[in-house]
Amino acid sequence: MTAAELVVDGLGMQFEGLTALAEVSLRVPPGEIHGLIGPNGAGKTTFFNCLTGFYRPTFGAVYLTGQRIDGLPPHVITGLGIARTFQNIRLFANMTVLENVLVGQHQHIPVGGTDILSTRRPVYPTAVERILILRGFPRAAVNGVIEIAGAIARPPKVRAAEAAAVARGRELLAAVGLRGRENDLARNLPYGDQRRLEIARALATSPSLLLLDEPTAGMNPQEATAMVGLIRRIRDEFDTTIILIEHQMRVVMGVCENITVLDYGRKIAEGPPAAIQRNPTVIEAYLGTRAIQGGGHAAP
Amino acid sequence: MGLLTSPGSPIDAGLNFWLILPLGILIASGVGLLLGLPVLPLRGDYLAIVTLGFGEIIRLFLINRDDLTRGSQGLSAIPRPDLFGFRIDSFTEWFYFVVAAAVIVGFCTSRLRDSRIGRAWEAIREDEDVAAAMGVNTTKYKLLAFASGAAIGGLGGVIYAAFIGFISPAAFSLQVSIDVLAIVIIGGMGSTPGVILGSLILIGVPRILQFRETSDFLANLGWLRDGLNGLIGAVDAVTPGSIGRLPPAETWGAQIADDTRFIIFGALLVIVMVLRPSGLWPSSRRRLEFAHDDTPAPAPVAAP
Repeated sequence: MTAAELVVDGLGMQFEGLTALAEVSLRVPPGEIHGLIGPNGAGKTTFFNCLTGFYRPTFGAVYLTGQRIDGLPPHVITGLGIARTFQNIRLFANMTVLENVLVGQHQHIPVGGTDILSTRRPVYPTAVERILILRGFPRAAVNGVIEIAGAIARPPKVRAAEAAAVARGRELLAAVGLRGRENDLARNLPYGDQRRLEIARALATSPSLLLLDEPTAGMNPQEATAMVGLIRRIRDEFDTTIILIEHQMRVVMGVCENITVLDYGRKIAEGPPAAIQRNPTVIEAYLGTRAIQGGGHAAP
Repeated sequence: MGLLTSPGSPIDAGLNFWLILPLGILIASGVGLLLGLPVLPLRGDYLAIVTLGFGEIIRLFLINRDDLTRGSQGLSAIPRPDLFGFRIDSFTEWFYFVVAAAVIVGFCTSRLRDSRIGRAWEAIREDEDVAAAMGVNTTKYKLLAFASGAAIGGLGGVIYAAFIGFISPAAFSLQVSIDVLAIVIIGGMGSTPGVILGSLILIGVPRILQFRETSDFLANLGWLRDGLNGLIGAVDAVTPGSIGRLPPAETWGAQIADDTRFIIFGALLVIVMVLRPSGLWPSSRRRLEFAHDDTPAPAPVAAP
């Protein structure tokens, strides 16, 4: 897919009384590697959850290359081109490495047709919406039966689709450096490899916008450096826009072209790394006011 | 669930078995789908509990709405299947027929497992949110799982009804659901050979104990019975109250099978859970999973 432009307009997320995000607006041009930083609890992961359809934003709108996507169910958003990894690794632990990547390719294995079950904008919670799911029901049912029949009979078309998916899965695994681990269980991979597998699985969905939630968390400096190289390579080879949440400043400053800083759910700064490093508001958010009075160190 | 719904009213109309078979499968999967809708938001254990509950609700419904279903009288004189003019009648013929059906079902499920659907199902089982984030329409695939599971149940139900020739709600008590669950756990979850082994043990062993040959054989083992009785007597002597002795030599085999089936079930379950938590014949994947548990854990995870 070609890299997507992301436009976020006045995004707000409220949990009961708690405001997790307020008035966040942002534009990430196609092909940019954009950093999202902020102290713990600033709303970074909540922001990702709003983009991917895990949460339904309370206010505002999200546009992916011009198309409004907020409020759509996660699988539809994935189909439109947003993929993500998770801060606390969430692989399909009891499936093999290759199978993990194959699940990522789910929508790109052409069997059983596409279906429109529950793609309407208002999604889950209310009873009315659950009944609305039924709108796409007949077609989804027919496609389901076709898919089951195809899986059992395995006509040449299905075989070919499966073989192509496996070949692409191996390619992706090779691209992130997991060649030869295809048949291991995901849970048995070392930590760093699990992070890489999560990225391969996200790439398998053919994203135009890739959201990486702390890709170097828990890694030592060498591993982190390798990850930076991988992130750059992904942007170039897979032609995606990338937003990453990151705590290691060396990584953020090294790889991001622009950075957005969140604090208490609000955007407090945006700009290229050098400017962010000198921004007094950012330093204050990280280190408190006294750091500035004392001529605080630039890198938080 | 499927078991209950499949042998519905069409049988009354004296329809052919081969017509009822697809009809039963269809009705069962339809009902499975309907029951699946309200439980979509449920996960894991809660889902299992509600499913068992539904089985019970349907049974009670069938019994109590006897104006619709003939209640506990059930349906009788269900025709036996003809296969190209050849009537499946004797036990041996039935045996091969049922084995054939089981082989076909086994083939279909194994094909399903190694497909996009199978992987989607597994992914949902592992982590539903992440499966959705990978583009799996979880609503659709969960409903498909309900429908296809019920379809297999429907197939089993139609065959069962035709074999017994009579069907009533009483045949599908909660006990049946629990037995099936026990079979799966003892055999090994997610493992087809494991489930076959489990059913051979849990269904087969009590039956073997009931065979005339077995009871004849056991009758000859009078010393074993006497020994056991002695043991029971010894326990009896030191505990307050009184426990009964084993029945007379001629029938004690069958009696044990009937009386102690649940004790054997329970003991087996406990033993299997302790010694082989992944079942007697775990799926190859589960084996991988448990084999690696002994090796040191992957690199320590630093707090993010």
